[in-house]
Amino acid sequence: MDKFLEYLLKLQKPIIPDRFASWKTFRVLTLFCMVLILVSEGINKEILVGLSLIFIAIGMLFFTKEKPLKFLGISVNSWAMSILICLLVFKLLAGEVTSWAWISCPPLAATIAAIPEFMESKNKFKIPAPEVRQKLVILFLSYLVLSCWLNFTFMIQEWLENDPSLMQQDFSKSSFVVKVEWQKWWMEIEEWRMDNEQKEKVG
Amino acid sequence: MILPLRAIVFQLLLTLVAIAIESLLLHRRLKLSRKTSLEYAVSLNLLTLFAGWYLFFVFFGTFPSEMKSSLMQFILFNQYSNEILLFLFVAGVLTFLNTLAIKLKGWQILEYLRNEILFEEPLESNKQFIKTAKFFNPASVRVMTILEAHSYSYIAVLLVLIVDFLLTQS
Repeated sequence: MDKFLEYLLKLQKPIIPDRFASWKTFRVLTLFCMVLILVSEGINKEILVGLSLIFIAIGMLFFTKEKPLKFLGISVNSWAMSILICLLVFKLLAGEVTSWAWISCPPLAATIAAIPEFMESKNKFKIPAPEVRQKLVILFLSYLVLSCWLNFTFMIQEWLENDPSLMQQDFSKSSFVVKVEWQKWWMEIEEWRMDNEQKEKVG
Repeated sequence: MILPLRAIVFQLLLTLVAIAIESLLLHRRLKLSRKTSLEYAVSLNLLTLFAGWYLFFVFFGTFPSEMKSSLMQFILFNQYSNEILLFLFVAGVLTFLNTLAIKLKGWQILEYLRNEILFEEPLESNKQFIKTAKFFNPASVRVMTILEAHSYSYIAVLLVLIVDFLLTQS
């Protein structure tokens, strides 16, 4: 019996958080919500979906504090947080995710990335030093330009949606846009890979 | 899926050219350090990029529908019409003047943010200012240098665009 209890304790160790304010708490809560979503219907389901999204967001906040997310050696904490916040706000308040959610991501990411520069200690603000200000200016402006490009992309999608006959025409002459065919690219990559494998087998 | 990747890559390239030329001129003429001049050029060019896109989005909503559709044809299929050529000419001239104004104001704001005064303006009373307009006081040297750097980078960008146009037309 004792052994069985010990086994149970071992089993629950990776799931149960070791302290309250930890990302594991919110993982457990999210899992709980997901289980409830499976068996619920109607308005309950919507509330639960919203709740689980909020738990995921808070869990991300704690998780990124413990282990910074890295992509190609660059910290992407601010990006992950801003995308989550935008999706949440637009999903919960507006009811649907529009192009504005994606366009407002980069400035929000810049703001989140800039917050630590304005904090002296945990609850004390400061004005950053002049050198830091220069960095922040470049950061903000480049992210704003990024969101302008995103807006331009969405603008083109809107034109094409309004006039579907445009899609049949030839885009190769344009000096602005490119027709990206993911499926075709994927097929080409696959073919290339297969060729290489065959060559290796022969050689 | 139609993505404006060409426009983005091309714009990055043109901005790099402009930044290179402007930072070089600022470094030479104003005797700024390489790092300072590069930082000024990068932030001012990013500012003009953002302002240009913003103005484009704002004014695009106010265009009449014929203008919109011919602009669409130009962007998506590279089809030129008389309207487009006129639009490009007017936009080119306005861009030059607007970006110059934005750069001059942006320089002042950046100086304030960086907490450095690169050129001290001599204290003058209004009367003296009217009597002897000093052309070579530090402030006007700065303005002239920004104007010069801006014109050179603008001409370089125009040249690249014209070469691209000639290559794609032939």
